[in-house]
Amino acid sequence: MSTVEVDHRVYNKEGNLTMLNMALRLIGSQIDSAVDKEIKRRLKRLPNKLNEYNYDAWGFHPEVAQYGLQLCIWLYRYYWRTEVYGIEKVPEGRVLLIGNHSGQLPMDGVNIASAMLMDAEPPRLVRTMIERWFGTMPLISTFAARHGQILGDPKNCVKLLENDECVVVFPEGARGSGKLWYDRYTLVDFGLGFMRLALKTKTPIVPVSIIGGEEQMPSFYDAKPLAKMLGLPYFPITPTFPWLGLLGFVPFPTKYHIYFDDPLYFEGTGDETDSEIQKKVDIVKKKILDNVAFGLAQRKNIFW
Amino acid sequence: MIGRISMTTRRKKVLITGISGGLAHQVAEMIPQNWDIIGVGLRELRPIKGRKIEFHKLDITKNKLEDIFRRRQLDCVIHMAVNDNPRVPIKHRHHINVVGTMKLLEDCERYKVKKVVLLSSANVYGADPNNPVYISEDHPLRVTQSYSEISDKVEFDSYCRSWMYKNPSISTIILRPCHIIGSQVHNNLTGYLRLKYIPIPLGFDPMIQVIHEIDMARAINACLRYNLSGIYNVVGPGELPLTEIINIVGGAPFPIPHVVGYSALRALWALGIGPLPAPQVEFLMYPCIIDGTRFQEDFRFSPQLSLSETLRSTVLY
Repeated sequence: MSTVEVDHRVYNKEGNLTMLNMALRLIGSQIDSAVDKEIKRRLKRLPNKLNEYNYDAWGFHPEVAQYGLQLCIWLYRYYWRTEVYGIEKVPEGRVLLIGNHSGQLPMDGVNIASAMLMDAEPPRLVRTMIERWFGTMPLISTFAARHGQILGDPKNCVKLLENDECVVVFPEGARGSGKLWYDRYTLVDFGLGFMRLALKTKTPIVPVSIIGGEEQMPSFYDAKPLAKMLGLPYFPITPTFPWLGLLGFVPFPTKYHIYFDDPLYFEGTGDETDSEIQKKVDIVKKKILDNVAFGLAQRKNIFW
Repeated sequence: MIGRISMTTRRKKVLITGISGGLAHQVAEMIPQNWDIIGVGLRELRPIKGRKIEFHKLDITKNKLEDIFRRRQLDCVIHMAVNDNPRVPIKHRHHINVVGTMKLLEDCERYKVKKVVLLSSANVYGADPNNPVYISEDHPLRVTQSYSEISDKVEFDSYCRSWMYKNPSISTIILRPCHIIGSQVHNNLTGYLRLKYIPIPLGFDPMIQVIHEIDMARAINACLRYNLSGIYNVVGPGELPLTEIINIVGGAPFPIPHVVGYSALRALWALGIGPLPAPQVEFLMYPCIIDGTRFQEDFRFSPQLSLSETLRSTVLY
């Protein structure tokens, strides 16, 4: 007796092909062919555990993520022409990547994620800890979740590290990315939370220095009242924003250099006093600053 | 401490409250043959094959319930007489869910019942954009911050918890399962998934955890085997995004901006014709993903049905 396989994902209860699903399939198959085979291959090789429908608990789904990643990787290669140094130093298993934050838009995170997917061996899915308000935004919250990006909650971070994942943290937070032009390539105060998590979960820390982000959207003034009104962390006044409207969001095509340093293994329980943790954090901070200084000295030009 | 209940010559007796419900019926079906089942419910009990059940049609808030405790030496009480229907006025629901439970637990204490299994729900954590993934049992119960209509569920959970600590000699197991679905259960989620056209909040697609009614009945039965006390999250085979779930059960989703949907639902609810209170929408917008590993380890429990089996059985009777 032969059985007829019915694809329940397309047919509804009465067996009608639903218009929405049909349209989505059609568009999907068109876009699907636009995704680089290399990206698909590398997504398949990710060590992440997924369930029978290819989702993880946070909502990461490679079949959706490939489209967003295709764009990120195109930007990484051809827009920012990112040069990566020392990516082989990132150890396997759980790891925290700690970087300097810059550039108003979180392109530094996007570029680190692209580098870890395309240039690391084996490929890794980078998890960034995103701002809490992202979770309340329609479309954006879903988009972020499907691409493996996680709400910035310490409990989430611990769980990810226990699952041996690769997490990127910018301890400067929004104060770092909202830096003004005059403060470029300096670091504002680092939060201590990442170090406590690393100690608790015995996770190595890799300092990452990013060159090029500070010039992509130089901000001369932070219009705080406007930011507060709009519920944003900052409201930058740049040469192009807000003067050119939405076009002002387009960052300059600066050249990115990303330096990965040797992993640091810290000893401790995570319950030390703030001053003890601060000493350890300062070691990481110094490594990042040293590499930033080195990278700036090596750089001949902002754009190439 | 984990220990199996020792086999005695006297047949053990279990009281199941709310036995007429879809899930409780399946729990009763799975109770091992060496147990006698005494059932209490408001509706007539559908017969269970191969089992003789002593059934009492009564309200658990009535004093007649205590007579069962007097006449029968109960070993275990599985309390499932909880009213989840949001259309029932809160006063009435509070009376059943909180006052009724208080009386029942008082009887358990007085007549020295050895084990009590209480069915709460993971909804008490609330769906919140700030929820971490994998909520553990010590997470605050935040649902009433925005969803006051189910305050009775939180009070039920809190009362059971304090009673558990007050009676360390009684094995008290409070279960907080994720969404229970299946062909027999009727709750907010199954009702929603059985719609032909399913409204979804535009732009939101949270992960949702489900457990099949058979797996849940199995989980409740696992509680009979181990003399432990505690609060336990119970999860099924995993979690999926809302739209994927709708695709699998075969509904036709249509997105509505949540502001519109929320207001419409609130207006309908105020008029008395709304299907659900408006804050219920939050469960379709934000995640409430719980960590069920403690239960799985302590009770050697693992769900038997896969995600697709679990979901398809909800609609395809």
